[in-house]
Amino acid sequence: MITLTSSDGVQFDVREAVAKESQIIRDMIQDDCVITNIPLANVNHKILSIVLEYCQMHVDKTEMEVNASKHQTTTGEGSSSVPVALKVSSNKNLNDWDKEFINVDLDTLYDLILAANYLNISGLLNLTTQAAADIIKGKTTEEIRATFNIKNDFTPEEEAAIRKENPWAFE
Amino acid sequence: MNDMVDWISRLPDDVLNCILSRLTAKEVVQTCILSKRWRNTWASVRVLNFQLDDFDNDSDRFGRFVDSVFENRGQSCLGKVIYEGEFVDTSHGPSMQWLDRAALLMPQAIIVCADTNVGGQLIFPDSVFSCKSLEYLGLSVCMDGLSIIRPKSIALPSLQTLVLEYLSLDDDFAQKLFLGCPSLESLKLEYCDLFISDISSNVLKKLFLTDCHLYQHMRICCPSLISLSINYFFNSTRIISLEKMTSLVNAQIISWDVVGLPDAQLISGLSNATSLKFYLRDPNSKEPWKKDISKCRTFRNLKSLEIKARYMISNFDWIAYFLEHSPLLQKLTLKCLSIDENMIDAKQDVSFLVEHLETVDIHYPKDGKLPIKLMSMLDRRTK
Repeated sequence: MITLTSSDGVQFDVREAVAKESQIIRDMIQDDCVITNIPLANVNHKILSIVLEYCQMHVDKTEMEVNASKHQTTTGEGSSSVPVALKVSSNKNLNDWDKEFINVDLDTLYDLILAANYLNISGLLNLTTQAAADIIKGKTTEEIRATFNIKNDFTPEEEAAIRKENPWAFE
Repeated sequence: MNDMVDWISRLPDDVLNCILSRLTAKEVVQTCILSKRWRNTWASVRVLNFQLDDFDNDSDRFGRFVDSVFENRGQSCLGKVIYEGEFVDTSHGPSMQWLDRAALLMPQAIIVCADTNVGGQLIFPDSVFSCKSLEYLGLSVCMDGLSIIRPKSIALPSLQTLVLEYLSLDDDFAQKLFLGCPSLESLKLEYCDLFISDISSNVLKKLFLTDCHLYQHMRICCPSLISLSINYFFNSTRIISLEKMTSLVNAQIISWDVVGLPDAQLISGLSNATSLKFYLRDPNSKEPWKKDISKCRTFRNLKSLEIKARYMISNFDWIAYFLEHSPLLQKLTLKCLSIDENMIDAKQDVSFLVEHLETVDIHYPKDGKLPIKLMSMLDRRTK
């Protein structure tokens, strides 16, 4: 077990495999194999618990597949720490689970992107940045500004000039 | 009405790039008008995903856009260039010359997926085949008539994966390819016309041949190959020979359309594999399969054998052959939709070496009966 401490001092005890979903934690453990407590200065407890839910699910699912391919019984080691909620959805496709998981409000999405980037969890970074891209897709400039509350700091003249000078981009 | 912080504009550049790289080139370019922070962000995005769709399939508009993108984005390196489009323009053939400019920006991946019912040829500039940084190249050109790829030379020192679809490839191409791509680990050819007599590589690890037409005998000689997949729609197994497949681990032979068994010579080339899968339509032949068996060797590493048949399995000789010659076999899976009432049972008693057989997984229709002899043989051998 490894203890992760959030920026606001909340401790999370997780299995090493779960923590190792994060590249920076993986590197830390590799450099110092007796490390048991890792403070994470840039992630608060609310976001860290969501991030760990993601890591837990992905580790469990991978282990389950490995076990299944080895034809071992499904009640083998590793499953005892799975929360009931995760067990229920374990048969569902991981992609479906991801889709449901990432259905969060924009502020949480932002925090998750930053956390995934900071902790270097490539799967979660892909998932969150794709979610952000999906929000942008198919929207007009005005709609994108409104969605993300982007303040248009161009004067109307400036904006018109950019459009005029770059007709290729807007035709 | 909305007091949310404008977080997306505050993201670090590399994270914002990561988001923008998931949009099409047109969507990315148009973010330049959002605010001053966004004015030049698009130019450093490392993925250019050109979708002809974004320009109502208008080749001229598309051409203007592509030229302007390269003129305005500067020299910052590219990671990936994607083109996807269905040409409907008949006035002039689609041009891929713009890839010249993309290749200069040292991309790691180029993926072209062109689809049209217009005839003619899609010409790829030679720069695509001499791009030093390229690790992944995927060309899919579905036209009326297969396009021929004939680069003057091929020099792709970093190329690891090559995927070619709907192309006509000849020996000249294959020779240049294996000479010019010393790092090529994975080769996937789909729906191609192959006039290739030799696939010889000391570095290739994965080879996929899917629904390709073979016009001549093809020798595959790849001592580093780990994974092989052959999916054929006519009986091309007789004209493929495998040599020196000493590293082979996984192989699958798929043929949902062809009646009969894969050729014994091909099967013998798979003798080093740990896992073999055969997905067949109707693996039965009236002629005794054993006539070729002298060419086969012992499958000394085989641990898992899976045979799926679309219709029926009625000739068990060749399955018995595997059982006889696979001393380490642990798992046998047989799946078929129907079993012939008048099935031909394994002709003689087979002497099994399969001491390690642990799992036998048999799926067959409820009303069908498995050959008694096969069943009893397996019964004797498994707990």
